[in-house]
Amino acid sequence: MVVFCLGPFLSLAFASLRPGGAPFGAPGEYSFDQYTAVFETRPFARVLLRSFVVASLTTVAAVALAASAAFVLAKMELRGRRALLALSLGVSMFPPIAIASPLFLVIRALGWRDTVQGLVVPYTTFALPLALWILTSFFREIPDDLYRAARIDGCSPFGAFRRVVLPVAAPGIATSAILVFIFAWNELLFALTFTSAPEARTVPAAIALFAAEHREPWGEIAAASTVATLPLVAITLLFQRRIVRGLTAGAIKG
Amino acid sequence: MAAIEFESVEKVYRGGVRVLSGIDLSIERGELVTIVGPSGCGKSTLLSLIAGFEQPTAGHVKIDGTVVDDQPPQARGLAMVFQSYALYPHLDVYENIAFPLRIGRTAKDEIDRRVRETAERLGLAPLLRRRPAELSGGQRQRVALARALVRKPSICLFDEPLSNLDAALRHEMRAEIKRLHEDLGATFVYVTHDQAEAMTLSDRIIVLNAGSIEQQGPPMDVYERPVTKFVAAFLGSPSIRFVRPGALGISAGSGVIVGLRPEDVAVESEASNGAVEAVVTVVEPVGSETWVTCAVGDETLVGRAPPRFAQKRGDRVSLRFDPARAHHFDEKTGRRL
Repeated sequence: MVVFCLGPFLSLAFASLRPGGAPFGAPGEYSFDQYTAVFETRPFARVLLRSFVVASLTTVAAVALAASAAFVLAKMELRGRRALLALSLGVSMFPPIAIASPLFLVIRALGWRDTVQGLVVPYTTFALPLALWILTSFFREIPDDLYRAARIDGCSPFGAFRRVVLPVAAPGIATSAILVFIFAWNELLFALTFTSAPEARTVPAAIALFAAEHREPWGEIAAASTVATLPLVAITLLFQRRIVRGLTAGAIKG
Repeated sequence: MAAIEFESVEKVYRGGVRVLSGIDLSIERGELVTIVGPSGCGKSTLLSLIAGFEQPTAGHVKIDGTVVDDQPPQARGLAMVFQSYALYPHLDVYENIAFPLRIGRTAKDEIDRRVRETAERLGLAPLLRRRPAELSGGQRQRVALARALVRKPSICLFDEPLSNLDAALRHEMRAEIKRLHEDLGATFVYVTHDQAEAMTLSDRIIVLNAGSIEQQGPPMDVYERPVTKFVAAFLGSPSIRFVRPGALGISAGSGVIVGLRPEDVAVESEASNGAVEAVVTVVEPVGSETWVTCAVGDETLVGRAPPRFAQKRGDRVSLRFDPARAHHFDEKTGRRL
């Protein structure tokens, strides 16, 4: 199971360390040359930063919007909330390729090509349904009595949301944040369509455009991909620790 | 002045389910009122209307003389203890108790003083740094009580607070709540489906059935003079049995049914004059006495026998009772005659 899941990544990591990018073959000849090449001959550092900004902003926007909407859907009496949830799921069912072209026209009309918001806004739209569904189910699991207790204790609906519902749903927030971040980090199609300047590209778009006309720089692609995967691993680990710390904070607070 | 008043309150849920109809009710300051009834009788809805989680479809709810129909829960200044305890799992005991004070922007040292005082009163002082997950059911219930009482509310609502506890603990907490009520002098409105809780705790019992008030009054008055068969059957354990008067040799008009509480029926092993002949069907020793279910012709009665009752199923016994203790009801309407 582990081999099956990690196999592709390991072969990628091996390839990144070998000249020409052949994952298997004669031992020896490992070097970091291709990593240096990626950073020195291409604007890869800028691309990484760009990706990070885009993915972070998308995560914050999508989770904040989804959390407030999910709270209303899960805890308030609302006519047609099933329809709303179904509708939001419907949005995520559009194949991105089908709306990439019309969306491109919109982005161009707004003058948002090569801008951060040109990616963050469409990403948020697409990530929203996922975050909404995760958070709605998390909020639903929080007993109504807990929300009612907060209201009786003097909280407004929003106060109860902020002081009780949100902290109790912290694992759900973290889960949806990670998933949205990964989605935004890995997204390729919109990134390719809506950017043209090399500096405005995100990691997947940049890597896809590494290939020159007659040459496929597999080694550099492998090196860049390995670098691109590391932030995801780091962020997942970070959030995991946060979740655990969040749940035990009161126990050790003096 | 009344602390809580209901003026011809109706509650109809979306989809047309009528849960409460024609509720007129006045709860005095400092009273401990229990609202009892079987599940689905509307008692929790009644409490929700006081708390402000729901609004009446018609009529008005008043708190301290003011109509509060449109006031949100946080504006009503009430406290509430929930069946599920509803402790904040991300906060420790101290912060749980302090929560309403923090929302109310009480001064820091005042919060500390009152949290400690309340914790002391409820025996929670050693547990202040624990998380709710690390507490037993009884301890959680105490924290919920402390959180409700720390604000010194003039009205405190209880929604079946003891039904998740085991019997011994329930008994202990019942006494505790009664003591707290006497100490604090606040108005307590207590919802329960447990008639024993209602009997032991309250100044006044309100029996709710199918969305309307069936009877209200001091527990012993309601117990001794139930106005309907429903109330008679709901209060008392083991519960009252209804039989046709003819089977017991009681003279009554036609269409009358007679209720006898088990403690008013003595079960004797020897036949004696004036007693009713019966056959034992079930024997239930409870230690201090024995409850004996008997067949009298086609009818069933439950009576009381001494602790070590030797008769077994199928044995003949005689039943003795004071006809004056029998409750007469109209068979059709169920009302007391």
